[in-house]
Amino acid sequence: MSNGSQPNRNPTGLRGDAILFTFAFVFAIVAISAAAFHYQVKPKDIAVLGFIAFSIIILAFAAAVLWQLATGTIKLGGLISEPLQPGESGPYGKASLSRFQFLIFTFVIAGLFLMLCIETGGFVEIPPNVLGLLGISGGGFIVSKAVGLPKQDNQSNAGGQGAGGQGAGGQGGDQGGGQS
Amino acid sequence: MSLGDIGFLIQYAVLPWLLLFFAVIAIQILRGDINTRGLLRTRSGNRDIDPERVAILGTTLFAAGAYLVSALHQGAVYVEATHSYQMPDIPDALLVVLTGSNGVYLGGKIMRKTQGDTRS
Repeated sequence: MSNGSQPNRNPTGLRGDAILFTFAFVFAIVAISAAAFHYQVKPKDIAVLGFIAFSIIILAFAAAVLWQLATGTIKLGGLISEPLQPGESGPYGKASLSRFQFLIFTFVIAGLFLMLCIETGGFVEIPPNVLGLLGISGGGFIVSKAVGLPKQDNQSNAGGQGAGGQGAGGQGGDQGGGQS
Repeated sequence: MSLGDIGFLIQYAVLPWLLLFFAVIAIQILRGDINTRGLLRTRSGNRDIDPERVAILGTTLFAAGAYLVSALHQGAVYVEATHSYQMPDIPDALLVVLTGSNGVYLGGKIMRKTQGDTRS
């Protein structure tokens, strides 16, 4: 608390802007509740308003992700790439067919599911064969990922560092980069 | 405005989002921003195209396209037993072809990896 690099802290350990936000939040809640009580708002109306607010937040998340994908802030370059093997150069490893297959099937089934849900106006069931299709593709992806992992040098990883090395390999497999 | 009206609006917001998401990925693949180097080749050895990779790519695109066209023609299928709708089913033969194609691809990959380990 006596740290000179944090001048905004007060003796209670809370930042001034955090206290201000808390008061503003509580005030907003009380004001909304008072207004709802005064105008005798029905629970159904509150649910509708909450649903609208929730939907706007979720759609804002979706739009932000889409915008960052389109502008390249979220990089997709290694989306279907294997992890880099020792001796390979470049930002990404070789492209993986099993990842590509998983991507294609996921797109097809997700798109169809959404369209059929809109058509019927409710959730549609997914038949076992369609789940089997995703299972085959996903299983192939996992096996391919396990086979494509870079070999760990057991001697250099001796002394309890083997688990950390495995984790780094798995992370590189997800992102397709980050290993040089 | 009721909850149903909002849900009606939301579904027409989610569908364009999903389509745009697919479009962004497809455009990035076509522009080369998403790496597709070596999609039809093995990591080591010669630079020739591998037959099993061509086979699995063809099978994948055929299966996805066939199911998409079939599902769009059929629409949601009404199930009497559960009084609900479900997605159209995939023929067993198509699953067998996909399983075989994946098996050949993974078998070749594992075999090459094993041979590479033996050589080194």
